Amino acid sequence: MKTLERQLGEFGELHDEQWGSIKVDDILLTAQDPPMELAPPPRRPSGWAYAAAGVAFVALLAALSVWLSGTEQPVVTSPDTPVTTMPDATIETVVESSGEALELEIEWSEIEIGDQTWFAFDQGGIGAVSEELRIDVLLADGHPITYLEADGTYQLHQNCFSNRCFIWSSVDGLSWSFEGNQPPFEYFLDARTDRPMYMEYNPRFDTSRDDPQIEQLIQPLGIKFDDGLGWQELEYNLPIDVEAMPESPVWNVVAPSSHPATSDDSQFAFMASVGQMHSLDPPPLYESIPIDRWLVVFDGQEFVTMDPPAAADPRGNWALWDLFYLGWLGDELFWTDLATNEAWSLMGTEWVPVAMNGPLRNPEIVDFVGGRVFVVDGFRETWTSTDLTVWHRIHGPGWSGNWDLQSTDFGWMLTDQEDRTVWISDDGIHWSQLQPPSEEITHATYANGLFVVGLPEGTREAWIGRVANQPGG
Amino acid sequence: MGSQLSTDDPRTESFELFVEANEARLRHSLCAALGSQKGHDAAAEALAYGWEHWDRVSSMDNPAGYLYKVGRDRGRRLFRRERVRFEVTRGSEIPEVEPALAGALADLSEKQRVAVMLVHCFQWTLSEVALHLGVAKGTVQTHLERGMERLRAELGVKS
Repeated sequence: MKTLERQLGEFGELHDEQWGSIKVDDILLTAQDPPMELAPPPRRPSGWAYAAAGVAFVALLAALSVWLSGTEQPVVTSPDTPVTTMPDATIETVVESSGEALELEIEWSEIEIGDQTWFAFDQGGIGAVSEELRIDVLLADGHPITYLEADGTYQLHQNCFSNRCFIWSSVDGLSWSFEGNQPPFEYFLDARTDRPMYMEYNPRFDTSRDDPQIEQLIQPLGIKFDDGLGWQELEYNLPIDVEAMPESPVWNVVAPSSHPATSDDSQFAFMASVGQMHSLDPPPLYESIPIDRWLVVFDGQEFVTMDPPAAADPRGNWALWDLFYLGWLGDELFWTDLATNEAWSLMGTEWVPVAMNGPLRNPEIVDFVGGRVFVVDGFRETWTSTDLTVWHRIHGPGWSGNWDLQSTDFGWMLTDQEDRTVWISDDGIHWSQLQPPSEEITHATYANGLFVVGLPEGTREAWIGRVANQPGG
Repeated sequence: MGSQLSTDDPRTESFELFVEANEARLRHSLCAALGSQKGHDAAAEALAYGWEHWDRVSSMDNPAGYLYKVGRDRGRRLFRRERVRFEVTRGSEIPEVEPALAGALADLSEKQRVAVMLVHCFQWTLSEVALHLGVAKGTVQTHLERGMERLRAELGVKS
């Protein structure tokens, strides 16, 4: 009997013999001509200018904290506000289409037009992934432009930061960005390591437990963004020893302060946690036992690791993370705990309780979007506020909580996934229903005046159009 | 299509040298990760990608390791729902290779399988595996030991 090692060796020889090698001529003959590669954008080194700006920002935060702490507002519930129906809020252009969907790991909405699967950025542009996995982008005026060499090797993600949207590859670190939806596109490569640069502030590495790249992907967490003045490069090292982690750590970033696509400034906060997988009976069920967690706040200049409100964690069970919501209202970071109906505001490094119990009864959904917080309570009533103290009740949209809510240049847009309606508002309080040519909406996106409305999978239809009379216009 | 086969082109020549030195490594590692057919296809795809982006890829510290990640990602994307399979149909010519070995390899976790196959099937050193995968040598050792332990249990062999 041969040893296992020897059997493996002979198995390898047999495998090689049967499968053979790949000939370089075949590669050269079948590969396309190499595309022109764009020069990376000029890098602006971070330095004293950022440091000075950071000091000024922190000082501003402190001043605001002092001012706010002395001017706490009582809870005021405004009278119910009726729906204001805005005229001509209808889709005026219709594009009917058909096509075959692709299975892609992209995070934006997909709709199908012609022979391409289109996606719509939540902010900044509308694009498409064709069957060849090239990326096309449709400008806001409706004219398509062909995009770069993004082929199937890319796991594309998109995110928006300071009105600049990014798509990038988690494979090779190639990334592109654009502002609004205007070309030219830029891409850059992390020249230091040739490895992926994660620009998202809501990094999703929770599914990487089987990925041998995990050590590379998470340490450090690289963030790169354009603050409107130039490129900033940031690195944040989670305060952990990766090597000391269990073999199959489960990483998670929870309670991001806002949806990436709806962030309208450079501030964000998130909670990073690590846990250990434990198999349950029967397999393949499993559970994640939390090990440690960190609250990370980026104030526009630097990362600060801090503790969450002490009173917000009486259970010590971070598996209940979905009960927490972080969000910014102006320059103020709030922590809400739906389990206890409590909220805290970050004043410097201290969490100050905020009364949130006014009109809310058993709040279930909290969504910080575009400087407003939207809450659905246990009685399916929906409320909105800009400071957690003065609330307005909202009528109109289904407000099931099963929604996609995003901020736009005119205000807010909401797709209610339950009753399949699309609503728009310029103040967050008064809403009118968009009138697309269908009652079977699955999702809607908006970018620079252009709406894209999709239908359920299988119908292969979608509409693109503008609102003839935008709210607030 | 350009005249890529012109060997007096320094760019082409550079790529050919790279393929000559690294094709087997790339193919072995991707077959270990994805299975025979998928790994073979993914290796070809990765090399094609490498050629298309050779100006950039060639300047990397570890282009073979980089292309491994490209190939693995592409393979996962293309064959997401397919089980890892090793297709060696002429096993009868080597009767002492345990028939259940291919299936037992497929049942290992990807990390364990890659470590076991690269080290024992394709004779890589631990350091070579670590460099290729971009992980610590100790990590490879751990996966190798656990993979071998699991194989022995699965196949009912003691050594």
